[in-house]
Amino acid sequence: MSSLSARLAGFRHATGIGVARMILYLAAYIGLAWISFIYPARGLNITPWNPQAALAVGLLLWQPRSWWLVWVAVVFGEALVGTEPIPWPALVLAAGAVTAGYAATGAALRRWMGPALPIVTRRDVALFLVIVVCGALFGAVLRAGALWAMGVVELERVPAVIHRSSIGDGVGLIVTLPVLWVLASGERTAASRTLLRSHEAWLIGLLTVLGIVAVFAQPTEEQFKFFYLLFVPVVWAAARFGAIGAVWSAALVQMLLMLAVQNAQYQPLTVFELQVLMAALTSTGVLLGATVDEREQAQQALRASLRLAAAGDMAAALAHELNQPLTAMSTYARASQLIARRLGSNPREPVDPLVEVTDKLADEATRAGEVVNRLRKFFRERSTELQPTDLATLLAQAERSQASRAEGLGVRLEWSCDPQLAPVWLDPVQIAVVLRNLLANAIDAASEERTPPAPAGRAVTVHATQEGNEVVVSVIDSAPGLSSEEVDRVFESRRSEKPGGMGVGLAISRSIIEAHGGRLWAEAGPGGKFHFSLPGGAGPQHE
Amino acid sequence: MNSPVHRKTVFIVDDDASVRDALALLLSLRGYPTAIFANAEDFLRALEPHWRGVVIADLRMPGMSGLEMQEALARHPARLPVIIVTGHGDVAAARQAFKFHAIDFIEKPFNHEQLLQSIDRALQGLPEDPASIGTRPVASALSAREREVMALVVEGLDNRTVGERLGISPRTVEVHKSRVMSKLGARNLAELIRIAQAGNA
Repeated sequence: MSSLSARLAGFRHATGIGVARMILYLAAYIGLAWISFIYPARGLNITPWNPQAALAVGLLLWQPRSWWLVWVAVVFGEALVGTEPIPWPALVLAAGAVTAGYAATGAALRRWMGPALPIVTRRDVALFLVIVVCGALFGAVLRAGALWAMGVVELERVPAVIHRSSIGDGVGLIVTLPVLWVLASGERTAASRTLLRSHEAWLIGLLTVLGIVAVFAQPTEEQFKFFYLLFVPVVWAAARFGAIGAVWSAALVQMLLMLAVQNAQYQPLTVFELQVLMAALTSTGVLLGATVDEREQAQQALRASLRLAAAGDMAAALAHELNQPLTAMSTYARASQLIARRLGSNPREPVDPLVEVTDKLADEATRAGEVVNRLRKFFRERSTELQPTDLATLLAQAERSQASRAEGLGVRLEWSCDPQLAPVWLDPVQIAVVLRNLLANAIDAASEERTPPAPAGRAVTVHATQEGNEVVVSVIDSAPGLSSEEVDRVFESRRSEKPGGMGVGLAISRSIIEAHGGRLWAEAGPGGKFHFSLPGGAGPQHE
Repeated sequence: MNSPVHRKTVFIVDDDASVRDALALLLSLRGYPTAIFANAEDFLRALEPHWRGVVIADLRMPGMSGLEMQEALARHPARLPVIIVTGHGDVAAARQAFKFHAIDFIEKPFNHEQLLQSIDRALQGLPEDPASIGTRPVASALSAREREVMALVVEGLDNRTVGERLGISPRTVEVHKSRVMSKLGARNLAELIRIAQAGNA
């Protein structure tokens, strides 16, 4: 017993495949060969549709050492399923030739695409098509050569054998191998299941059935004229669901095509020609699907990098903000140590200074906490959380947060809001960050004494108005403002020449506003002018 | 009376009110006369040629930056020494600061001991003195490879780029860098830059 299992293990080691899988493979291969055995070429078991070829190449792709199993399967397939009598030696040799073709195709795919067969980009698809077509042609040449050498076919029939054999295998590979590849990948199987839950996918399936009915309801000679109808569902699936959609819809078309063909009488040659159209259909669909996938991926990468950039800017600005209260805290702490030491040596010293300093210490801790909260909020709400918000309330809050600072710097701070303004859909936390930032910058600019104060004195005004179907908030200060060159440069955070972090803050503000579907821009002077727009808020309240 | 004419004063120039207040409090408790300014422009306008002491300036301020102020101070007759503090220390800024003979370049939150030492050194009129940080002269203490690594690191290159330039791994660069720091007694990158600049001068 044990010697048997040991021998089996040794066998498995030598062949790279288990016995159960071997039997499964043989059954599947012969089953597929039996289903697809239609319209053989005269006197030969060459059929126009060979999905089992994909099974063989798939096996050789993942298990290159099991070539002998493929050979055995091809021999049995032809012997059991084939209807045309071919002498045994010729059958075995021709099967060997076919196997060699499959092995070459599998090796080429493994060599140039890797065993995972990653058909996602247009380049991958093109490479796949080239390898598969060449492989099918190579196998067909070998097979025709073997049949001729064994005297089964005459020399003048060799080109016809090559032609039909390469079409049968080529179409089988082009249509079916991608399906196997989808089934072999867990991720793609999951994507396929998602596809089945989509109403659109079922609609496309229905359209495919209707297309087949429409095409094959025509007289035989007319059918070619209407084959183009079948491109509609495949192209739709590719455009909507990418390469996976194309693979499945092409497979569906192929199955229905074969059903239709089996229920009618055709010349074998006609069926071979239909299959060439089928190959063109599948190639078009998968290429288009890959293009769609590529674009989708590029878009996703762009979105992710934008999000990351916004998060990075935010983190840099907040880290800087955090350092200030931390510095103040550690310094206050040192100071209170000194005061405490004095109190220790002289109990009659007043306690008030210590209370005052520790009070400031606590204030700074609160300030640091607020910064951290903002950071956490930003990362927790990776996507902006829109809610209908009253802009006037938000403006009043922002004004309050900056009022004492403005007063200290001698800047008058005013805000106004269009009374007709409906609530705007926005993320109040993020827009508050933007407003605070713009206000702080404007107050800094207005307070710069190098600039002669305007007749009305140093002032910053904020107002919000409805313009078309967006709300525009403007922050205007009494400083000379930016030149038209500076307007272009002011958003480049890394190049900010003002060492106050103004550029970084502006870059974040811009990311936030853009995430809301709005714009943030600066306007050239006189007067510092920053505006941002937010979509919506139009007309009477509808929320 | 409290005008900083007679005694050597610590001038604090920082745009953050809390940092300014805390620093002034700590230093006055330590017995230093202090004067505070919210920005570089205010300070330069107020500055008189006979003032003596040391300036602690934040690197990033709205309006004129700490480095720009340092440059202006270098031309001013008062010739006050400067200590640059920053929450955003980068190698380029530190190099720039030391080029204009900053006493020190300190990152926020401070190491208060380091700050007080630098203030004392400035107030005693000592020139910035690499030997007081470094325990050994630069050239002899380091291997050739360590000198190469140090030269690139103080250019502001990161470990990966240094590694690429020298054909070694970033990990090895890190090892060389920490060996250089310990050999020279540099506690941080700013000190390393200062030592390197003094070595070149």
